[in-house]
Amino acid sequence: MRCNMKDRRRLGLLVPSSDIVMEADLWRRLPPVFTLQVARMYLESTTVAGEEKMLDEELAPAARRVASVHPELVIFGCTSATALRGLDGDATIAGLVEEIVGCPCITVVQAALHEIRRLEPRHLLLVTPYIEEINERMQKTFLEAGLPVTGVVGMGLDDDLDIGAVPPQEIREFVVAAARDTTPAPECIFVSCTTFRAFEVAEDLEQELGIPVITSNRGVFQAVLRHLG
Amino acid sequence: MFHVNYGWKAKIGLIYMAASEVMEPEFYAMTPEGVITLTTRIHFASMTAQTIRDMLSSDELEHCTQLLALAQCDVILFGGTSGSFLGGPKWEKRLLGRMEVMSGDITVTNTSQACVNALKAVNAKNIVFAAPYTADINEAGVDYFTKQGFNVVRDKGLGMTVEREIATLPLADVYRLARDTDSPDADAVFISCTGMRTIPIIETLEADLKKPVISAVQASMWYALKVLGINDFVPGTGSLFAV
Repeated sequence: MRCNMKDRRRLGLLVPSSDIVMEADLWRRLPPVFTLQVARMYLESTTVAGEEKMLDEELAPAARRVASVHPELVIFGCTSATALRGLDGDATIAGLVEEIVGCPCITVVQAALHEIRRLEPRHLLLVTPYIEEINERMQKTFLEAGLPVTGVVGMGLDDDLDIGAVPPQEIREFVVAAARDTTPAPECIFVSCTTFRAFEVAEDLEQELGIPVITSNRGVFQAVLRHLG
Repeated sequence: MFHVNYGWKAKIGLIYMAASEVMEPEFYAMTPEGVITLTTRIHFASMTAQTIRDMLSSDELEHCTQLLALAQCDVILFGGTSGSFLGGPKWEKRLLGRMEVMSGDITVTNTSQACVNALKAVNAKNIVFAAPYTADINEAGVDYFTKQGFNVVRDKGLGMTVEREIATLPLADVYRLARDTDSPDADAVFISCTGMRTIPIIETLEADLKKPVISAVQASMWYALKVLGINDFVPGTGSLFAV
């Protein structure tokens, strides 16, 4: 059985309390040699105020818990929180986690930016489950990173559990509609949010739309493999 | 479409010791279709009676329970064996009561409660207690299981306190520990500690010792599934699941 962990490699994962998708997304896809050691951070609502509070009060204690297990890499698993305060904010989160845990930290935004830059799209569409105030921060951060964001389309959800409950087929239809409604036509789509079941429809979307589709968890998955060889 | 299991039957919430690393992968290996585990960590650096008491004297147990309740888990398990038996059955009940305050309608349980139920399920009366612990923690474990109605005919502890060393103890050493602790008059072998690997060797131990072998991690998953009314299980994880 998948339990021979003699040489297993530990990855730390920090997620909001209400994230019900990211652990499953990563556990099921990562090679068995990797184990996820998780700590959660209290998140009241997927709003600017809710995420500010999570970063200010919950990030450091959760990082200290993960530090106890001495991982070789930590993932900060919340997209909107890392985009909240721009690229500086993202770097601050990663820096704080690295200082506390003593190993490299990948944030969802860093992982996504890496994947998107590699594709050199001329028109990037952001599709999210979020409300407008979060979408604005997302767009600002991606523009600041020099990416040609030509549109942001959000579902208007501000509760993580509602986000996690959206069926993948609905996400697929929403992304297709958003892509067709956007001009100029996107050359790449980033589907945001770690508790959004977008990873499992990413390949279908790529076939249907004929352009690359990066999702939060797909970006992290690729970053982990790249980082750890 | 890549088939991913997001817990369409149930979500198990796991509160796990921060420095421990074994239960998450062993849980994932033995999770049946439709079930997922969501984990959070509670401060815990090493395996001593004092650090166990410290872990449970703050309000972090309540906070961890709240985090998993927010994720709408269907059962919340405190995944520490010594962390739930150390102060005896009454102490354990108080810990569950503290979790219940935060869990709302969600059932709460812990590894010691799971182990008691598992040992009863295999009709064990006389048991042996095998663990990586120091003598004082072993003594507390024997006392707890005695008070829960079992006759502990032998116990053995390896005197270990460093979580990382417990986690990386070779399976051959765990096998040897269980064999060395076993006694002809024991109905079942109990292997304590969720920080130590056991799942891959349970069935081979059962074959060699000709009796049920119950481990803390195994019993925790079994009991969580029982609470959830899920009778499906991953083969190869011991006779307990066939009861």
